[in-house]
Amino acid sequence: MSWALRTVAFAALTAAGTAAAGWWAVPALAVLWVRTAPCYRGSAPSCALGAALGWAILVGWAAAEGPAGLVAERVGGVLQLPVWGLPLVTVLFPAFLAGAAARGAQPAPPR
Amino acid sequence: MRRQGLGRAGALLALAGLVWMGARGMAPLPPLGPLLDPVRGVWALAASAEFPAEASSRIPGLAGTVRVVYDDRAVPHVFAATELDALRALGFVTARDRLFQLDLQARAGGGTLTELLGARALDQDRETRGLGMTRAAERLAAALPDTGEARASLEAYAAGVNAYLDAMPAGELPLEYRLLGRRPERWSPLRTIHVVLRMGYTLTQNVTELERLRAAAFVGSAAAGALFPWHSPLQQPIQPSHGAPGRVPLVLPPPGPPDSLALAAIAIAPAAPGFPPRIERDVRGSNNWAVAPARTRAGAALLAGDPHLDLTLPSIWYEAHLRVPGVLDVYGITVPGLPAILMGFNRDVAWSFTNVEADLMDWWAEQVDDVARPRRYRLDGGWMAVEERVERYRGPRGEIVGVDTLRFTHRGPMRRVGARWLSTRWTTLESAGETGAFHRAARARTAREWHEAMTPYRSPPQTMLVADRAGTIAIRSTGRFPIRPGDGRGDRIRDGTTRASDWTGDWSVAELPQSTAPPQGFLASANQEPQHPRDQPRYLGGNWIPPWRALRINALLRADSLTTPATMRRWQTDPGSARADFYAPYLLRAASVRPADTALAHAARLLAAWDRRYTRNTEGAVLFEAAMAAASSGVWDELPPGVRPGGGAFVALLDDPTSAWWDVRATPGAVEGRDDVLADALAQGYAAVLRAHGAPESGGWRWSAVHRIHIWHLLRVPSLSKLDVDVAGGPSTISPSSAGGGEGASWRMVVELGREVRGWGTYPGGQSGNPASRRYDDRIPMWQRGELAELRFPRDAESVPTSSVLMLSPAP
Repeated sequence: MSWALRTVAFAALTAAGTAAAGWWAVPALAVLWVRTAPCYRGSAPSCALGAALGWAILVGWAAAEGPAGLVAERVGGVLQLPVWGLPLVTVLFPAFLAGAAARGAQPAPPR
Repeated sequence: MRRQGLGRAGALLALAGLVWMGARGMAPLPPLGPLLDPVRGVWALAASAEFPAEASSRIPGLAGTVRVVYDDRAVPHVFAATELDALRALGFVTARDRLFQLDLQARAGGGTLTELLGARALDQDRETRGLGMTRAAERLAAALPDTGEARASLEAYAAGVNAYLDAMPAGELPLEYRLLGRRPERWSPLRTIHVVLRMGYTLTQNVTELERLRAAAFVGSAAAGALFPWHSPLQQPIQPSHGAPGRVPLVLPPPGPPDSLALAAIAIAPAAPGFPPRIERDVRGSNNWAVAPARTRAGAALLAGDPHLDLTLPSIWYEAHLRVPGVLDVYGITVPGLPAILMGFNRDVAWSFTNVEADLMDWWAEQVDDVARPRRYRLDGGWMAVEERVERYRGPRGEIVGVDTLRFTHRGPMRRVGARWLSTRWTTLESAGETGAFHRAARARTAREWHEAMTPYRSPPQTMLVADRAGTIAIRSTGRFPIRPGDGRGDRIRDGTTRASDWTGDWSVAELPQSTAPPQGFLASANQEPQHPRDQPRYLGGNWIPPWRALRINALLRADSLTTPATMRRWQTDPGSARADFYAPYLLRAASVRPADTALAHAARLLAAWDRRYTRNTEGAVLFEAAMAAASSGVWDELPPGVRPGGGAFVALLDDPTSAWWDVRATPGAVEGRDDVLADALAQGYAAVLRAHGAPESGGWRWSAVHRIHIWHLLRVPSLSKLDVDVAGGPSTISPSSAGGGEGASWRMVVELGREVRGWGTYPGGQSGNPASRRYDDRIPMWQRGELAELRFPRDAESVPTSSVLMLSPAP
């Protein structure tokens, strides 16, 4: 599976996993992903990007359901973030989570 | 290999940190995982910002299906088969829109804010419990009969709130809980009583005993007594008193030597206790007025009401319509947490309240066995045991963040003030709100029936104005007013060692300030002294707010014999000021005695050119207010900071231009009179405005540039608040607002009682407590413009322009 395809697949998995089980799914899926489908080059960045993409899809879904702009403005304001800050943090958080989990769980390459 | 190991260790460390941030957060950040989760976290607020076109849920105990139709202003119209079902539904829909506010208000009234907000709320909880509110609520809840209307309605409402909590999707958890990392608490009748007592706390403003004591410590008891007079020197009572003089003489004795007893009492006292909440009394105020058919264009009675309170987001009010065919059909506003429509109208009657500002709390000086740890207090020659109650304040995780031992006499809670122990009795602690009275009143067909239904209402006392379709208008200050022994006054600290000092009863209904269908054809109230002293010998309170708003309202009502709903609406934001009309000539006359002072002359010209209206574009108001502030400082320089008499004493002082109070202490070689102080005040005010806002031509004096109000979120989070809103009106106009800007008209309503009742209204906020909803603050622009929306009052669900429908059915 190509790197891009793996990333997209992990994005879909993250989106589904988050919808089903909450944010804990992100690091858990990243660990499972690198353990069950090992790929020693670029696993962590692929998981990080995929997780960010997965949550971005879910945020996009929320935006289609209602005024996500107001959420970004008002909740971001509570956290003292600019209006683009909350969406950015929302995709960076799973990215770091998945990336760190994948890197930490990645099996050592065979000698 | 070693590098890889290090990389992996670093990644695991980062993962641990991220998981910690996700699960536990890091103060002040809440747990990021549940917060940012796009499905259940804050982003879900977008999806729940608007209610779906159709929804359904279940409530235990419902007798039948309830249909709730939300109109185009997001007002729920509840169509139920029984009154209790309507209250269950009201609890449900209120929780659906205002869950966090419900919880917060109950916690504020119950002294448990620390459980939600942590130790930062400890002082407020201490104040609440120290006043005896928590103990009183528990006693009132326990005293509710097991059967009966009161308990049934409280439990029905609680069932509705809890049914929503049980059914609430994760995505609808209010933002505030997500930020605090907390969950809402279940509702109960006790929590409603907490909300009732909190309202009593908010509306108890006439507590001057300690201020008077502090004044006495500096200027003597005689002077202090006159500074906080029993009767308002300016009279404009709610109960028309034809032929009575508009002025009640008040002579201010000169500042005397300090009262040594008072001085001893306050010498080692901390700063004045935090109760009542310190507010600028001249800038807060509710109004209501009604016009009989003979003075209206359409020949139908008109009623207007605008209660003024702290402006918050979400608003203190929630608008709703309850319809139970053949039983109840009422529209109006409720406070989240209370199972009743408080102000509004039915098919025959409309009503609105203003606060009476009566003296509801008295203080007794107790003689105790041990000042450090009193266990007994002296009473009628013997000793009585002090009741002790240990209050434990818990933090969000159940940890103890504070412990207090509270003490009570038979009168109420004790408080140490310096070396003395005072006990208090407060009517608010002895009444649970009488929601049943509201339910019966909501079914009234005439103004008389309505007042009859409200007769059991006790606290906080309200001046209740009502109009009916038959054309009757009627007003009454309803509530519990205690009768004191001796001279009857409640504005002095009484001797606690004898029961002879205790309250001896309450005013009878016949004694209450009231008027029905007066010949003048209109009635109004604006927190002023409700009866002329000629008509009422009993003490009701003292240090009354001068009746500036009442004077203005009555002047407008007298001048218009063809009133319409549109004029009623305009008057609610009328920028005219009886206060400015009264004081400005004094300032101008004072300035005229110093023609050589060019700056003063310039200031006087600017003030003279002002039309004394607080419009957005006016400039004179800024100068006038600065001059009045300087005048107050100049006159009351004998008093300690924080002690300022009400406006009544100042009004009275103007009649005595050579009073010793006008003499300025800072100039021992000179003796100033009234005009000296007022001229100096105008000059100082002018200089202050120039310093702060530049020359008048610069545009910086515009009222809208200087005078802004702030509608704060309940947790004072700026991004969830609406700040710097410019509005017309100023101190003592009909729609007053303070320079600090937290108070104002919390609801405005006009009702025409014609063949069909028609109502208009709005409030500065929105129906939804969800900041992601456009209904969170969508009404503010209309409120700001002084406009009102037509209130939909349908007889059936089909005739509502529907935005959403909620079906509530009995839980199996």
